[in-house]
Amino acid sequence: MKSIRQEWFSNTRNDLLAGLVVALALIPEAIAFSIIAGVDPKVGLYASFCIATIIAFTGGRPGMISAATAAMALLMVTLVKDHGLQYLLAATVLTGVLQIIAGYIRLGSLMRFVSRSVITGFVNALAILIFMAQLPELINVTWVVYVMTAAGLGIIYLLPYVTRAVPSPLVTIVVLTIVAIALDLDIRTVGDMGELPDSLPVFLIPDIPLTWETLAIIFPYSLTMMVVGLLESLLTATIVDDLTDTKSNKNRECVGQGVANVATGFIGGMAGCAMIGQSVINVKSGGRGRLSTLTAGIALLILIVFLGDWVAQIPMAALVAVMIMVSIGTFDWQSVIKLREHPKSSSIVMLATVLVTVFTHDLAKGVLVGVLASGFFFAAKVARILAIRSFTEDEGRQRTYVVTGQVFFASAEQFVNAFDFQRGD
Amino acid sequence: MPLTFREVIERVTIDVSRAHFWDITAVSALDKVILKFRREGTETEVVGLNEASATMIDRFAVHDKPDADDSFASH
Repeated sequence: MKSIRQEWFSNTRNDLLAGLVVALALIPEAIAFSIIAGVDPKVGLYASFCIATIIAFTGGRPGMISAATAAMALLMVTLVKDHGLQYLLAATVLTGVLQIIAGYIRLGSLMRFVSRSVITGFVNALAILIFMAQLPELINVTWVVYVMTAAGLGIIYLLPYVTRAVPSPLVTIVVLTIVAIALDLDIRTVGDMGELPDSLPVFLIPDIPLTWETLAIIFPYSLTMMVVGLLESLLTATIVDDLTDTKSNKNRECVGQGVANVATGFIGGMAGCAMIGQSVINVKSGGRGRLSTLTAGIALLILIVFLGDWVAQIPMAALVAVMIMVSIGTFDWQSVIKLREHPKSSSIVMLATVLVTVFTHDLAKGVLVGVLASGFFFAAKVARILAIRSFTEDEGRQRTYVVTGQVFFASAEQFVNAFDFQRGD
Repeated sequence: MPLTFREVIERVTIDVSRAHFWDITAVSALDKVILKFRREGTETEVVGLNEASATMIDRFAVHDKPDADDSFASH
């Protein structure tokens, strides 16, 4: 009872305010991530509402924000293109089921094999992919789009010097929308990208044939989304732990993410996970408890249902500006400077993670390569600390070998070669 | 030193008190070393195995089993 009050109502006023800020900041991102995935904006908006609301109850990290994310959206692109929305919804439910299983078998503890270099590579690759996803909106367009995007970036980065009361990405969206309507600019808007929500979400079962063939289609996607979703969620949980000096329950978070995704699939939303950027916004805005996450989810739904007509008028250029900001903010710029300072093996692991991810568009493959490379370099390093020296006694009749260090697969050959088997010469 | 000098090793001691044998590759490497020395007729002794390494060697090594020399020869 006491912990419920502590987790929910120990910080009521700040949680409500921070939740509202997050809800406002979520709108442009949820729409942009839907567009990355190739689905209607309402899919990402419903997902963000549903995931944030449910994770407030089921999550293992109070104050963390989960919703539709770029990392997950990037994984769905080919599934949506080849098979359509209904298969994405089914894959979302399956992702959730896999995450629940992962939580119960404590897969979260595998996170310790993911080194810091791999995590840095993960966020850098994510930033590059988010940026690349914006390029279609910036190629073969009129000069008006470039001016609008530049103006958007100007507001995003300069407004915080004037006021921090409202999130500057939101001001960008509002100002650019007003300008586009007032000048009657002929540029692409969110309304051109697909359907927006005009009602509350309803429960529906994904319209797919329940066959092995369907499972064979969605399983690889769900497996990858399970891994990436948990990876980013647990990574974000660690960041929030550090920011707030409190602890989180990682395995409960895995199960919680799963429950949220199952529910999201059934109300027509796309799979999501924890969001680094939004969680940081929440904590920096004073959000600490579960109430902040719940407020973000519910306020988001209210805003989009009532403001749907306005949301449709948002120029894509404004969203592109917001996504460029998300990309720049996600990238770990320090890591570029530290490339030369860090041990060569750490830098190679980081770069390998980035390159594999950017070429495969699959964060899970990048992380796998990074983890394997870390293991390889570790084994090579430990193998090098094997030393064998020898001395003779008893006028050359007795030889003693002293072995110091680790003998294993990577050093076994070196071990054998250190002995001299010839009796003479 | 004239070339007439010949070091005739009769006994070999392998001191592993500051080494750790982690896997079956390590154990079979130790096997290989001991069996090679034996084939040369050198008396060989391993001293200072730590507990974890000793467990690995008890379970997976062949040099300390009765038919050790046969199994090596068959390779």
